[in-house]
Amino acid sequence: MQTYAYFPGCSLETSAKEYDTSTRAVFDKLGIGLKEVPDWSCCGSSQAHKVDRDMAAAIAGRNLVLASEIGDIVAPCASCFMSLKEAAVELEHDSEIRDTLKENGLEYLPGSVRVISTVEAAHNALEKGMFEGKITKPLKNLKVASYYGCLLVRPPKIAQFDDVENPMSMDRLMEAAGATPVKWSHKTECCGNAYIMVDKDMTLNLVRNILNAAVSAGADVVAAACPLCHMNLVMRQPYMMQKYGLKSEIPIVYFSQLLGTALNADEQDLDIDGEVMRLINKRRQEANEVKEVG
Amino acid sequence: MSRVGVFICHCGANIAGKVDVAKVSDDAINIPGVVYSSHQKYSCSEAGQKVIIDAIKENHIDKVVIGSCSPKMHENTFRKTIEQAGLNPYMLEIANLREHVSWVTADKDSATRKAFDLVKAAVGKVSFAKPLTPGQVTVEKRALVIGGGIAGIQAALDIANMGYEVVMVEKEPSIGGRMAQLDKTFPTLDCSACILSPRMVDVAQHPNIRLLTYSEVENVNGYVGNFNVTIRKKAKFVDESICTGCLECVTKCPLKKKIPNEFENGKAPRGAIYVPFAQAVPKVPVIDKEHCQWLLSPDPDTIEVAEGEKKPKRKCGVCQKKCEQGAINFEMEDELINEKFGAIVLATGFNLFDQKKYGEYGAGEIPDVITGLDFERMVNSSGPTEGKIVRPSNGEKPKKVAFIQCVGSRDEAKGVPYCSRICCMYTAKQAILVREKLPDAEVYVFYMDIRAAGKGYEEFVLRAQREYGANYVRGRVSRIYEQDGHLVLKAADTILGMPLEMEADMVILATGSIAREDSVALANTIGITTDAYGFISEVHPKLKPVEVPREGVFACGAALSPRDIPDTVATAGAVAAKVGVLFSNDILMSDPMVANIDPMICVACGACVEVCPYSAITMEEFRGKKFAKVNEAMCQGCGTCSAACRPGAAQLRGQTDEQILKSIEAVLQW
Ligand SMILES: Cc1cc2nc3c(=O)[nH]c(=O)nc-3n(C[C@H](O)[C@H](O)[C@H](O)COP(=O)(O)OP(=O)(O)OC[C@H]3O[C@@H](n4cnc5c(N)ncnc54)[C@H](O)[C@@H]3O)c2cc1C
Ligand code: SF4
Ligand code: SF4
Repeated sequence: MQTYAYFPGCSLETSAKEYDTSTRAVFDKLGIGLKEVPDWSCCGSSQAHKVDRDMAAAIAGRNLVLASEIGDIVAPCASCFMSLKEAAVELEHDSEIRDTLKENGLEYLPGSVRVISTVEAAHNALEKGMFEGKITKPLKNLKVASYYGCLLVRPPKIAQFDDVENPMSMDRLMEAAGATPVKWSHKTECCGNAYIMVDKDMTLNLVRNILNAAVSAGADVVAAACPLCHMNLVMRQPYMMQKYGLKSEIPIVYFSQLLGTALNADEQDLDIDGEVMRLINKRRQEANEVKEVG
Repeated sequence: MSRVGVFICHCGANIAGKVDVAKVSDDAINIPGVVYSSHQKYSCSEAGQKVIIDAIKENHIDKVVIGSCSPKMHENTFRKTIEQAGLNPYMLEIANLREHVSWVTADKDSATRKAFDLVKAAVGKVSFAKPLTPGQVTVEKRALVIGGGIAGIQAALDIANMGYEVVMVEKEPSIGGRMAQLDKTFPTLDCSACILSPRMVDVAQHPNIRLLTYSEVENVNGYVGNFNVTIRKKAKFVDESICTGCLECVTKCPLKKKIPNEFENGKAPRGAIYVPFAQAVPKVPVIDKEHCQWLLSPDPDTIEVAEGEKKPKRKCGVCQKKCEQGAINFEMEDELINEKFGAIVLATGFNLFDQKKYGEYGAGEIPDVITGLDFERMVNSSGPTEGKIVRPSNGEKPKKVAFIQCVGSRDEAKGVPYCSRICCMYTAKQAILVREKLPDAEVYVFYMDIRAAGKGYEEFVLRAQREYGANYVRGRVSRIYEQDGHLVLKAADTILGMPLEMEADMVILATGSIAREDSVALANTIGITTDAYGFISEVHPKLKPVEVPREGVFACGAALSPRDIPDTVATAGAVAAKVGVLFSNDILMSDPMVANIDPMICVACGACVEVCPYSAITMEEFRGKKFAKVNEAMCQGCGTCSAACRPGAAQLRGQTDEQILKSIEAVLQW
């Protein structure tokens, strides 16, 4: 069985537990093993590289060395993914940081580990035909706006995955799950998460633009692939309707929750909001009715 | 024993700056066989050549080594020099001390040592040189022009007007190329069709030009003055000799609104039988076999049916029924034509960068984001909207139009690093056309910088800005998306130093120029090279800008690199002049440095026949003995046969095994 080293990261242990459990459930259904990196530590995301790039690479590098025993490393959080991948790129050609790690008993062998996001891992599985016959509960008629945010495919030289301006991998996954991906304008726009403490106004304007674009495109739900984006998009919707001109509320779910639903994974693991589940079922029913009429 | 003379050239400071030329010259006199050695500033100058001639005569030198620049540069010059001194021109060997030594070596001592090694090798090799005499070949005074855009048209007309025969091969159903797709042309705004159509007609009517449209070059053999070319004339399924061009068939084809017309950049339909545009030359339709229902339906003769059952008939066939001339012939097949030419002209033009590669501009999926070429067709009165500038999404007049330059050009991440040269100018032209046709519309042009180097060009851009009020914004657009029935552009204004968000109704992308997708394959067929981007490589960008590294082959227009019509026409004229010079010879001297097979040594194994890339070797028999023989006219002197021949019967003249071994020996011995 193919097995990845799995790096959940801190959010998936706290605010995004459902992303963790649904990711594990999806890969389990696909027959791909996820083995948690033993004794993983903070990836250094958002802060470390602003203080000292070498330190950031060393902090993330520790996790890479630990993962290399298992195999390529999969990170569900876009921010973890980017810090780990940036470190991997840096470690490839910076022998000084490799030496620092080595002095601490951690030997990094160039080329020993590849960092990918869960979207990329799932998309690889899709391309290999591993979904075939497994979509037993398709998300018929559900219109999904796939939201990639800023870190999943950017910067392209580091992310090395999908089209940087018009990524389609998550859309294809949603299509495979039986849903209808909507074409929309803001799939890679920044959600401003890092600025929420500094400049709330700016962040909320960005979030409003993203959500309004999804609503105008006719989406039922927005699929996210990052716990930070997810939190940012979910949290202040009622307030934004009052104060920031948000057109209407729209549910935000993890792409893994949707995939898991279509793969008929355990409901408890998926932990989908009851409201969203009712919407999914409503759309399925509509699809069936149309079929009967037709 | 030979009497070798060695001449070391300084090439100004080019060689002397890195190589101790005096030392090389002094040491050379000690090489066995060398009777004279000297060094001088510029051997290729008149004074330098005189020194060589005088030294040869005074010292009874019979073989010459010149340590200078690459033989590609001056081998011919120096052959003539020693010929003037009474020697056979092939008693010469050049040691390349510039490209192979001084320009690529950092350290002076090693440069000097390597220079001396190369001189030793050259002495060793030239000592065993034998006098060679060039053969003579006649010149077939007919030219093949590949590509019928403005470049090919101009070259063909100029060559034909000199009195030579021309065959023009164009792969599309009509000649005209991109220029036929344009509306007005910068910097004078004259109508493209008005200046092009008469020339297209001239080509068709010229007594010296034979036009083969819907045709492609399949194979090229031979050499300068004597190329053998195979041309595939694709089946048009319409008999050109009978068709009157009434186009009754075209109007009746049931698919007439179904297939995107390539000429309209896919923005208007054509049928399975079609002429690409109204002024097409020749005005004879072709049937596209990928779409025609008759041709796609199974042949009744091949279908077996049970007794009593009717055989299914071919589908459609409407055009055949409607054609009063009986010109439609579904049985027509591709024709292979073999012809001989003295010269080949490449005028295959360019293609445009695919807007789909720009995800941030909607990856080609936002209807109101179009390309400059789409716009040319749109403003043209015979185009899809009959000249009306309208938003493709709803057919309404746009109130605000934005242009974006450098889409694909100067973009190392997604496109090509070079500047496409024409887009600044055609964008200014299109901005003017928008303001002329829609005076109430606002026009914005996003640019990186304006490159308007050309006669009247800068003035033209200023006119677009001042007279026509186009607003130029310096900065890139980072994203375009649709919102509430219009487009939103996110950009940076780098003069104000501010981000900018703008609404527009229509965006026109100045997509860059790239090579034709089949340019590398065509170059391989002809045996020439392309640059990293697929454009045809010229021999020298400054001094031989239309010659390509195969003698007798020339290139002009946008096949060489992106260029506008004035530059295209200029290079086409230059090509015609070069062809004229070639055709002014009745006889050409052929290169004597070709392969020769000694029948006494040959064991007739046939290895050479198999490896020769030019099919120049055949098996012969004389009095019961079989042996391989080289057709000297076809041999290109590549030496492959000589490497493959085990008994050593195949030898390249001027590069014999003996000469090569002696040069290696020389480096190792002295
Ligand atoms: C949007 C736009 C606007 C422009 N506006 C202007 C303007 O206003 N003024 C100006 O000076 N220039 C303008 N240009 C540039 C102009 O189009 C070119 O300078 C000109 O077309 C170059 O001519 P060409 O004959 O070299 O190439 P092309 O026009 O590309 O012609 C090449 C011909 O060769 C044929 N061909 C290709 N491959 C083969 C093959 N393998 N075998 C046989 N035939 C083949 C093609 O079918 C074509 O007919 C514009 C270009 C664009 C894209
Ligand atoms: S046979 Fe029919 S489909 Fe084919 S070209 Fe003629 S009219 Fe068109
Ligand atoms: S001509 Fe102008 S628009 Fe075109 S690539 Fe060059 S700079 Fe850019």
